[in-house]
Amino acid sequence: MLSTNFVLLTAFAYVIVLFLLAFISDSMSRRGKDTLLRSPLIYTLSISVYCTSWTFYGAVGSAARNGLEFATIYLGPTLVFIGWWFLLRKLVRIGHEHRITSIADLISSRFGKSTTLAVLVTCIAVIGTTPYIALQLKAVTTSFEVVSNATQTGILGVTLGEDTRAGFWVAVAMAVFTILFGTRNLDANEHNPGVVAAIAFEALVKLLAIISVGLFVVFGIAGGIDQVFEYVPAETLLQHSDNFGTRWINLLFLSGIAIICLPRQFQITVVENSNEKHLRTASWAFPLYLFLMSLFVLPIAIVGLAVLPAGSNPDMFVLTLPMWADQEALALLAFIGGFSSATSMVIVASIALSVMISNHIVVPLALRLPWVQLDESGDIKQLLLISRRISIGLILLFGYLYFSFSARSDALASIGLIAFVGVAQFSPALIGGIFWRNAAARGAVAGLSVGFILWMYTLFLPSLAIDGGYLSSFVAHGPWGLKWLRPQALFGLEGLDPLTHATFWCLELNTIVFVVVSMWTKQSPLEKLQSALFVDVFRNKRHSGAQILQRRAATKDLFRLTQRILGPKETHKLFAELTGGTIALNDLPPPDPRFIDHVERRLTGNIGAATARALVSQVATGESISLDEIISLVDETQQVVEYSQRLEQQSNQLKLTAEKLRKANLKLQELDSQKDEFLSQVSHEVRTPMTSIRSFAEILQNTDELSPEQQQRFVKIIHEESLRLTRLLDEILEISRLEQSQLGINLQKIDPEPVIDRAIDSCRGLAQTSNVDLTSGHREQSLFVQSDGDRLHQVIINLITNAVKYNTSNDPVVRIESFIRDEHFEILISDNGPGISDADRVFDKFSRGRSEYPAGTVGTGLGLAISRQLIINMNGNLDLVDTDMNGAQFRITLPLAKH
Amino acid sequence: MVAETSGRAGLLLCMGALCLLPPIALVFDKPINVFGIPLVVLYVFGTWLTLIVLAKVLSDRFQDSDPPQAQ
Amino acid sequence: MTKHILIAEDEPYIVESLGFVLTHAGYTVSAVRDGQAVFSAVSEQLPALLILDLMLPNKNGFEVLKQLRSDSQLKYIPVMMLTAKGQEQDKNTAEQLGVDAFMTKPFSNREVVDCVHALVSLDSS
Repeated sequence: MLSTNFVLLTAFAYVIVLFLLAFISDSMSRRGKDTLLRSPLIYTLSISVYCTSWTFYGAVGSAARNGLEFATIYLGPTLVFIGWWFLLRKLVRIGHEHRITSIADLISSRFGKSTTLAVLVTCIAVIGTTPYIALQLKAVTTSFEVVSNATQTGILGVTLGEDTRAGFWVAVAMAVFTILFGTRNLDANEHNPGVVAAIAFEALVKLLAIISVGLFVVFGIAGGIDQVFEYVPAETLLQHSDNFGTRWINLLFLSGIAIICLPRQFQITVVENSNEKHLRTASWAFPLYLFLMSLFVLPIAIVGLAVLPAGSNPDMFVLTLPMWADQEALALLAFIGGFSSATSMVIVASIALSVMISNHIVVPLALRLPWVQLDESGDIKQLLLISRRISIGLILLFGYLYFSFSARSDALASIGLIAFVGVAQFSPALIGGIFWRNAAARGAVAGLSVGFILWMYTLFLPSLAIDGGYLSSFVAHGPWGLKWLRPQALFGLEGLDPLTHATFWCLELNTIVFVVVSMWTKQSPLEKLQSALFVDVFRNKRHSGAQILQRRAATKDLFRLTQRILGPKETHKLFAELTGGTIALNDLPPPDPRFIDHVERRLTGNIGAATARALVSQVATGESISLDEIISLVDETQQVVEYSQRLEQQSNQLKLTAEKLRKANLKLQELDSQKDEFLSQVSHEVRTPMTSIRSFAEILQNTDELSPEQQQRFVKIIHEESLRLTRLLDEILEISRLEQSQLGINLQKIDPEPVIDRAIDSCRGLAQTSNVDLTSGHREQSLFVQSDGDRLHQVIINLITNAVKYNTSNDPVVRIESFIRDEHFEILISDNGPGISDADRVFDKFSRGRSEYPAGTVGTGLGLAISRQLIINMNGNLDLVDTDMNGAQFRITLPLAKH
Repeated sequence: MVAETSGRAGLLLCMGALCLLPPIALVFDKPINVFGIPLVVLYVFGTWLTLIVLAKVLSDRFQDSDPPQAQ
Repeated sequence: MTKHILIAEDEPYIVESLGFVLTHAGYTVSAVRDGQAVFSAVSEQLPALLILDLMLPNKNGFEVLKQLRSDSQLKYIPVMMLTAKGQEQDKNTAEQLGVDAFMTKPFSNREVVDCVHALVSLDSS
């Protein structure tokens, strides 16, 4: 028989190995050599944290009592994993996309980042898991006492349960381990390589242990597989138990849910998943692991029942059979196997719970307490770390206390399945949340609450009952003797075993309440958005939430906030990534919604969705959700059609406003580019005469042998070009003034004919020197127009001068006519010159429409533009008439004045 | 290709669930021994192993075809 | 034999001043007033340098430059471009099209002469 000290030493050595392994993996990972740690195989092995000591020892116990039933606990997860494509893949994808930190975070995030839900789920998870941890401590204690007990009672596997020290030290060791290796990274998307390596190693140890014991039992004790089933208990076990009954269905269902909803499973499968592709391997490899774990359970149970003395504890057969056969080494291996199952569960469960407690309870609470100051850089990060470490300690302490108080009762024996039912309460909200768009936060809260209360009442409470105590009579007769309220026969539902009874009531009512309340409540916009992002996670593009949440924030505030949570180093890195290198805060433009979304997402990975949102909302303002974007996200479905109909009116109005704004904006842009074009043209027009002036001035300055004639000419050119510049500037000022207002126009009722005559007279001299025939054609008489005589005079002179100057015909003629047409007065000025080559642009500023013009006659290019603006300011029009004849014909149209 | 494979994955899941639940499973719950092993034990573990093998085949199919988007 | 320089510019006074300065510096100079005319001028006499204004009637400076550079006979004529617009973008366009020098109006005569010397001697060496 093994001595107590030797067993203790072995267990201690095993724990040392775990620490070393975790340490090495951690440092390897930090040096980037973690390809092995990130392999699908390690991922699969770490999922086997599902197999706790409750399954390591308890599966055989269950088989010894109920035959094949134990297999359901592994068949349920098998089905879920081979169907990974439908549920697990979606969960993992959502986990990555939304940087989910725990199951509480996922449910809260889906239902509009609800803090209530996060707290509720965390509480249920803690209440459901603590006894489960206690169960592991009990298993370790019991197995320790059994394996190190030299007396005959050891073989029986029955202990007094008085010595809880082993349990205590295991709790301490695991707390230290988890604090050391499980709180390395706060970010959900960065993993705990040390923990994962240790868990994977433990998976191998427990598999090796159970297979070794199994092989020994089948071939060493029974003498072959067929011999096993020759033993008497085999027939009894297999034929007289209720295979494939309601309990079978129920357990299959429950275990399938548990593999997703157990906080530790969610942690390992979803949160610690580093690559979605790993699921593909796990889809068959994890069921294979479960298959191998279960293969020898039935033989061990049958042989144990057959060969061990009556009254032996079937839960310890894995340990007591090798002891019975005096196989000390094998017994020790079995003990270590059970020990490893217990420790891996404790480690992962406490990590999962500590994340939930710190993210969903401690930080939100600390932020609300006025006397907690968390304004300094990295404060929240520190708080998170400390609260996570304390939580781990407390969880294990509570687990230990629970265990030591209930060590002598059988309360723990059934806690495994009770916890399954407890966490199964998450399933309606979880599964409904990712597949059903209308699932609403209130529905989830109501459903969860109802399910949880019923679970406490029908399952948890009775499990605490001790024979003869108050609780046991409460369970037997109901409160105040009300039979229909008996916890295990609620509303008179009898004939089911307590577990099936409880599962039925809890999940049934949970689901009904969840669905009904969801249907009757309206989702908040954020909830609707999250719902669309979760349900259609494969359809929607990554980060598409950013375009929907239109928020603004000051970069400085956002930076400070991020620094409080991530600390200075990480924050600088994040902002440098986002801004493309610059982190000079004062120079940064205000962050766009996408930027804010990115920051919130990053914080979510550290502190959970609800808290991250609450914090970001403190610095970000103007959170409005763009309805169009939501609609495009959630198209195709009937609900949305209805929803959009209700919104149609509102959105039509919005569209109208948007259209107006768009037009105004276009107009502004057009004006702006016109202004730019104008400035560039002005620059060009100014530079041209400046070039001649400068050039000739330099020639005059630097050339010695200039003839007086040359000097004369160059000075004359400089003078001419200076005048041209002055004229240009005057005209620019004038046209700007004209374009801005009608100032400078003095509208009066005048007779235009004398004005025309005056203009013709003014141009006679020019016409004569240019040998141009200036004639007057058809003219109207006695009429009045609304106009400004001087300005009209100016325009007509400008048009005649142009017609004269650019007329290169051999027999040049310029003709002026006037008509009354359609209540308008028209003045036509025609020439027989070369015509206008670019008729569309002739009135544009600086466009010199004439294709050819003689030297020395260069205009500013503004004359026509000014003329037209003047006539327009008189409510008339100046345009170019399209005629069949050669030359150009300009037309001034003016409104007739009322008599 | 993926649609086809995911259809088969769905079929595998349904078949697995059907086989492990009554009434189909009840058919095999008979006091018969095959090679010295009770039929019901052979049936449950046999179905289980078959499911694992088929899941492996399917997962290779997913790998060959367009793989699910990785992180 | 003196080197011949062709000026394509529609502002007569600028042609006159450039002509004076370059003649003084020892070149022979001729001028055209629109873009299209450049091609008939260069086919008559291949110039040692073309001074090309950007804003030309009929064919603007860019179009002229592009056509020159795609002609196997004419592509080696050094081109100095003048512009009064002074926009960075125009300079980039000109450089992409393979201009040899780019000058913004108003320029100093010294600058022009230095640049012309450099381009012409570079070509002959």
